[in-house]
Amino acid sequence: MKKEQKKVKGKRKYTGLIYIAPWLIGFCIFTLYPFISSLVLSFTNYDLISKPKFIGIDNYIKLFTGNKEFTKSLIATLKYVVLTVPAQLVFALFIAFILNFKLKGINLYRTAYYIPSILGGNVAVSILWRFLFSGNGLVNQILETIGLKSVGWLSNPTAAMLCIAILKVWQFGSCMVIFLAALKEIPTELYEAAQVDGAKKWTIFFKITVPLITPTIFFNLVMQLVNGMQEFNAPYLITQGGPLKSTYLASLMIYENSFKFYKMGYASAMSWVLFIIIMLLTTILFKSSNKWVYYADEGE
Amino acid sequence: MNKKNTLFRAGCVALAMGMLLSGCGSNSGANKDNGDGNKDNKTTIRMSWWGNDDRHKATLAAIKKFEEKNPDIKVKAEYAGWDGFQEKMTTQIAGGTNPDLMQINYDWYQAFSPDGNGFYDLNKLKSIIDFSGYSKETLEPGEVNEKLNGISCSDNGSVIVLNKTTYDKFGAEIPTDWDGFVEAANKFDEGYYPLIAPQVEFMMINIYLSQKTGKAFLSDDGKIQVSKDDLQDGFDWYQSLIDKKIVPTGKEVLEIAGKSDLSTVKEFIEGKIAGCMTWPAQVSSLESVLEETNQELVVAKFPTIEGAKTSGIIKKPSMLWSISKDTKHPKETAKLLNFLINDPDGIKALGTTRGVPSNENGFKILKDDGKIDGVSEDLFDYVKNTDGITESPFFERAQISEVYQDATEAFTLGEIDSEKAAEQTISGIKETIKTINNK
Repeated sequence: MKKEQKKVKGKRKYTGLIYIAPWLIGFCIFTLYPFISSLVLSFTNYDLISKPKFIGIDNYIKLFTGNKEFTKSLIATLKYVVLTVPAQLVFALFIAFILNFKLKGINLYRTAYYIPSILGGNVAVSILWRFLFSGNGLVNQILETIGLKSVGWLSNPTAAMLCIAILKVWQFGSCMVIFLAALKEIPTELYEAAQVDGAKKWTIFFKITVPLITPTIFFNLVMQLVNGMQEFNAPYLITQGGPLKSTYLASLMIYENSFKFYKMGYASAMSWVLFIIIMLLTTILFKSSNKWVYYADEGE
Repeated sequence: MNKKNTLFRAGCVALAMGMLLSGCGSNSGANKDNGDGNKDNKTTIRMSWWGNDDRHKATLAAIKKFEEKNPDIKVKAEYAGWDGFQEKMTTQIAGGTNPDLMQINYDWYQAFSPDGNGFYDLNKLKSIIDFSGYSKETLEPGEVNEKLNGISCSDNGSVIVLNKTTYDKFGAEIPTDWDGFVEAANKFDEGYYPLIAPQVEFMMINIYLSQKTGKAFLSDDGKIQVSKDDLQDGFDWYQSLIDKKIVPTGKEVLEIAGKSDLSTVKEFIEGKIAGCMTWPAQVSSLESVLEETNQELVVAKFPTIEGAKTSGIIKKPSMLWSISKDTKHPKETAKLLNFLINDPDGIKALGTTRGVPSNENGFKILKDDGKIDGVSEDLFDYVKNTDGITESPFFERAQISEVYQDATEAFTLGEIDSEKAAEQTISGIKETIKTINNK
């Protein structure tokens, strides 16, 4: 009997591998291989056409000396992340909170609010965005009717950054859905108990709702941080990195260097620096999570 | 029960694996089709180009005609807009998956084929492709290292086109000199502009400089031939156009057009932007969007400054046709190319969507067919009969154009003065050329 069990166990080991084989094969071809080759290429002067030549860490040195373009681009990227991630999380949580009420036709609203996320940063949206934010576009018209001055959304460096940040915040849907699921998990008894004790709405929200969904906030925070650091579509499609390179985010710079300027080696080095920065930021978040994330099943 | 479950799972895995494998399988099958022809013995060749809608339609029509005449060949068309096309092409060439016949921009030869071996040598296909309609000068841009890498589609030189309807509306004459533009600008209402040059502001400065100095901005090996003082003067001159309201301010250009294609820009379609600096190959798409609202586009002479040393037209080779060096079907691809540049059906179908053909025979066919009239005839006359300066292929290389476009943007937004703009342009270009040559 025991022997038989062992046998099965041995076999099971491989069965498991077969089960995940489709994913494993895809991972090796589409993630692991490019990952390793980009690391190798970052130490070469590869230009896509001729054979790569090993040049040591020259690319990495060049990144932080010279005209500081890459540093500027990293700063722009961080600015973008600081602008978008908190705003998106707060906004998504707020909408999720509202959509969690039992209202008539609530599913319709849930779908409607999710749509921007499906649209993503595609070309049609970028044209819409240019249209809304152009000199005499809808946004400026509204600003003028309420007595404010119109803004050069696409020509002023600060405003252009805001313009693409708003696009990102607008796509809060996937965050919202995750929040919504978390909100539904919260046992209603807790709310009822609080209400009986006479707690106010805001107190309930901050003392019960928020602490109970901290794992979800943490998850969304990490995901959005990583996404934000890698943002490409909005600056590429709407501002093309301008004006005056104010929205020249790291991903856009990597893309232009590799496919437009044929500096694949240099661009690979950039991606690795970006990767390390993202990793560091994520690690910090994980370290900090001990202090503010509560798991319901903890301490039992 | 348990057994059933395991079976079910195994079935799922098998299905998934099957899908995965068949996915790979059909892919390699498709490649094979490209390579060895599929069941009904049709050879499939791939062809790619960039352009606007009217060029897409015309080219697809030409391909259809070609397939009718050559039932044994199937052409797979891959086309898109200009934006991002170079990047796509680069990945394809680097990965060896580029199409058999490709529309190429002239500055790409520098990167893709520095020694002339990056593309098929068309001289080897002379038995199929007839080059008799091409003069020596029109063949030159496609020659790298004595190998014919590409064949130019059309004669190309900077032109100014104007929206006559808007000019008429305000009772302004079509200008022939800069004073004429000033006059027009004065007659126009607020929000209307006689001219715009989004992304090619520096090209306008370059034209001004070529009139002033009689030289191209860059030499063939990438040396700057214009002095810093002249360049600074060029920036100041462009500012004077802004001050006189001939062109919108840098801020307005960003809001109106940004980097979008002018034929999709609202203000241009509405006639508020009543003219632009452009290239002949773009004119037909600009013309067609205006035609939809019954507006008329005319070719204007590029104004010359006093004491100009040249007419100030900048000539550059237009797009060229190239054949992949790895093509498995050089003969079929050559047939297609020959059809596009020499066969009356191909020429008529393409029309002037890539400019007026460099091929003299092609030009005659189009002219007899009545396809060359009005704007395209004026364009052809203007480009052919005006002396200008040929700009170095370095000039449009993305790395170089990035330098002067950044400087121009900072200057027109008032971030830096003309002296700084000139300095930044010169030092930036020198540095970039150095890194390119160091390769």
